[in-house]
Amino acid sequence: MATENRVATPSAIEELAVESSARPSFLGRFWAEARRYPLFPIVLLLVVLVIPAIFSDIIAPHSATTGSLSARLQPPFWMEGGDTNHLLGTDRVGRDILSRIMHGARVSVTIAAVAIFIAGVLGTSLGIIAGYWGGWVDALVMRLVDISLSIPIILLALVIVAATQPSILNVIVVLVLLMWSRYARLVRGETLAVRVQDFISRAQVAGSSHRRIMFRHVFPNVFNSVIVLATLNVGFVIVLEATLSFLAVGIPPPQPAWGLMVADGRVLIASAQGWWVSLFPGLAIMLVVLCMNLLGDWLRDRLDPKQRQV
Amino acid sequence: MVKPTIITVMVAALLLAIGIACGGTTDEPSAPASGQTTEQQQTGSAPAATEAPAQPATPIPTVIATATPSPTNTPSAAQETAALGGRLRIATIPPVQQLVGSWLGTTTSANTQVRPFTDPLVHTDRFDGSLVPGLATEWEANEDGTQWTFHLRDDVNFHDGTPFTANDVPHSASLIIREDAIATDTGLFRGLFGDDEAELLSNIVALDDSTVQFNLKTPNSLMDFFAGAQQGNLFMYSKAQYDDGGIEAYENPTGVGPWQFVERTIDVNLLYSRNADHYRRSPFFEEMEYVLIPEETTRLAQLTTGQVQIGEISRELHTDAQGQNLAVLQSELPSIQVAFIIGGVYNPEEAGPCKQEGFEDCFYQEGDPHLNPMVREAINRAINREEINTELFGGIGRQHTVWGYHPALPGYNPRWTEEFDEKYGYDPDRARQLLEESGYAGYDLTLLLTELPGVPEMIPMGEAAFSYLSAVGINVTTQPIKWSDYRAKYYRPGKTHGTLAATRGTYRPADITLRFYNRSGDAGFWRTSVDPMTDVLYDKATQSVDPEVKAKALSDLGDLKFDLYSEVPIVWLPAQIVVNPAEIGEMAWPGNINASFTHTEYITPAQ
Repeated sequence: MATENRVATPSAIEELAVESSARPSFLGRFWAEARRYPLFPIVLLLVVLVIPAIFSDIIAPHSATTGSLSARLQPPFWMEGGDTNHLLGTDRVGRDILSRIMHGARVSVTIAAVAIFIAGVLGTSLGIIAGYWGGWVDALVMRLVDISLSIPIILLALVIVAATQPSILNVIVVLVLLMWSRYARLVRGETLAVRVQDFISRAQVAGSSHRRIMFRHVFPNVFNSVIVLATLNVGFVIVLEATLSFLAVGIPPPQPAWGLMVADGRVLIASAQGWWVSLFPGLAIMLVVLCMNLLGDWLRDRLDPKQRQV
Repeated sequence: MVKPTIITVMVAALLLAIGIACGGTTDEPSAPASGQTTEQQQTGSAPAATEAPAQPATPIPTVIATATPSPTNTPSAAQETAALGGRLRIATIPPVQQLVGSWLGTTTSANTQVRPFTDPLVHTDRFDGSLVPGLATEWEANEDGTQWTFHLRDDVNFHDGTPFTANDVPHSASLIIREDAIATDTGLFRGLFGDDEAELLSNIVALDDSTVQFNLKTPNSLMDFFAGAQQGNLFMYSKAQYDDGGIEAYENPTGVGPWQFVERTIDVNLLYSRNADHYRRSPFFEEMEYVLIPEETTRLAQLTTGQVQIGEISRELHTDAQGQNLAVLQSELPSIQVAFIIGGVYNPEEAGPCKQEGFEDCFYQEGDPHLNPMVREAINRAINREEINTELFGGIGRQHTVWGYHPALPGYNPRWTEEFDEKYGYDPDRARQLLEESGYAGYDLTLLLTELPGVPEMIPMGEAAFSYLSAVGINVTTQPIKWSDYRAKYYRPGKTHGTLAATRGTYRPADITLRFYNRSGDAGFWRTSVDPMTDVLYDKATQSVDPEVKAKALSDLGDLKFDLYSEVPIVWLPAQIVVNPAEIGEMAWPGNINASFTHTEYITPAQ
């Protein structure tokens, strides 16, 4: 076999010089760094969900709840009959769809944040208690989890609404009842693995109370998993809230909720005169859920290497 | 990290959505359907339709004796030459109650499902909506309206071959007051004829095989109307079938209608076959099937693909339907009146503890903003009726001045038409001023959003009202609610304070509507009463068979309602239906029967 000639020739030296002079620019380095993060979903979430949710009162061009019938079913601005006053058109009672999507983002974010926080705190607490104590406490919590997971969510929502009325509070209650068990089950499993670690035994020997062990030693070790689950749950919550609103057991009209907006236009979905009423809120739901799932996947990869192997 | 392929998919989805959106601009309506003029399509009028008669309907005389059939029910030229069609398939919304027993649901449910296979005593003309002979050839009332006598045909058989006789009439009436009955007329019949079957049978008597007499506990001038089942449940069922098989026999009922009941599958369909020997009109199709389809777009798709010939399609999709060579037909008469009912306006005599257990402080309450006529006027002034009619109803609506009253029905006062714009015209500034002057500026109002059959625009109309009322400073909150819940939680127990609710009624004598909405006490449902004279005038109107006395009392009552802003009348609408003109020839129905459409036996196939 012939030996490769490794002697530096003038041409090779020139190439090296070119390479060294072509070091990445600031933008190039920024891009290379940025590619390590899920920029696309983050930016899209900021544009579609976060900024509208926070600033909808300022940036929304029109009222979200009132409109003028004379402006009813105006198409988006690029279509004949549309104008830039209503960029995404108007709905069946003349309300601006863009403004309703912006205000609807606030409703979605509020519901998702509150429901996930309550369900997360409740489920994590019960999961740690069940996993740490074991025995009848574990059995009791797990049976409650089984019961929770066996409840048909739509049926539960219908029952609650039949007993009361559609409202944001009802939606949150339904979502919490549905989701707490997911956190409890996940955290209980993680706790079972953590509690047999040496540092837990040492803490016990050192005289730490059970409460201190659970929340100073166990909780930090399951927190990453909870964050990943919460992130993945945001998309789920938004879809479920939209589903409940679509079925008229969620957010009451005329409040802007994306699911309600999709339902409002379903009669016209195949019509040339109003397909946009459902399309744009539907698109908002799709994009947000997709982005949240991508973000959740990325977080899982970063925070929870064990689950990445699954 | 996000993979490039995922980004590509998302961008492609976005572009696809925008592409779909842009594609909508090319979806122009195609040429008009064969045989339909463009004008007809734009106005939604039927090929053979005539305008609603402007003249007042015939007042109810003390004695009615019509021995000859109405000429308008004789076959038209198209019907004379029509060939027999196969199966007439109609895509319809599943009724609220799916039934074959008329006592098991509302009049709308009964008129849709029962009316095809069995008749009421009195028929309704398909063009002018008047009461004409059917099973009863003539009928009369005594002077004080407490006794009504109906003379029946003696040549009618049920579909199973047994003869129809006067004995079937009290039996059919007794079904409506059964313990399990939830018919619209259950309460009415108990009040008129007795709370139990024995009492009812002592008051409704077969004098012979072809004469039946109704002895009423209280005078009533509308017994022929109830016998016509326009808004009621009195359809004829076979006593012989009941005697043989009990109430279960009515799972497969026989009848005296133009169609014979064949079978039904809940949530799927109802099937009828042609009665070739009907005394009035044998159908022009061998069979008729109601295909029950809840989804609007699916019903339209069934029509456009030829799977059904007739479909209930909401007005919002009529332009799309017409663009696909379908035709929109409308009823001969105005069919539906639409209004908002102002809650909390109760008769002062109903003050005090609620009569129904579990409720307190209901009915009349001092200080309720809605008791103030200025507030009621403000609500009326805030609503832009013209915009609602133009934008939501496509301009087909006609002026509605007083809830319950139509210019062609007895009791209407032309003054209401003349003064309507002046007293009720859209004037938000005046509305604000009225609220300020009354001291109720910014008061809290709950707008109840309900869906009701025949008016799919109810929710958008409610949401539009939210905008109108908010614009004049009223603090409006909305509450979606099912009609049954509204009935149970609000207006039956007298808890409508501070509410405003959209509702619909049909084209019927005013006293029928007023009974539901304005009469206080147990006789009424809604009990909206702007003046204690309401009850006095109502009773005077309903208990007199003298047409002049009756019309005067109704007119006086209407004056009270008009001048004191009792409700928020919005519009009168015709009933509308979409048909495939390539398969349907002639179709006409009056619209004053509580159903989307009726008189299916007169529908002819296209030639």
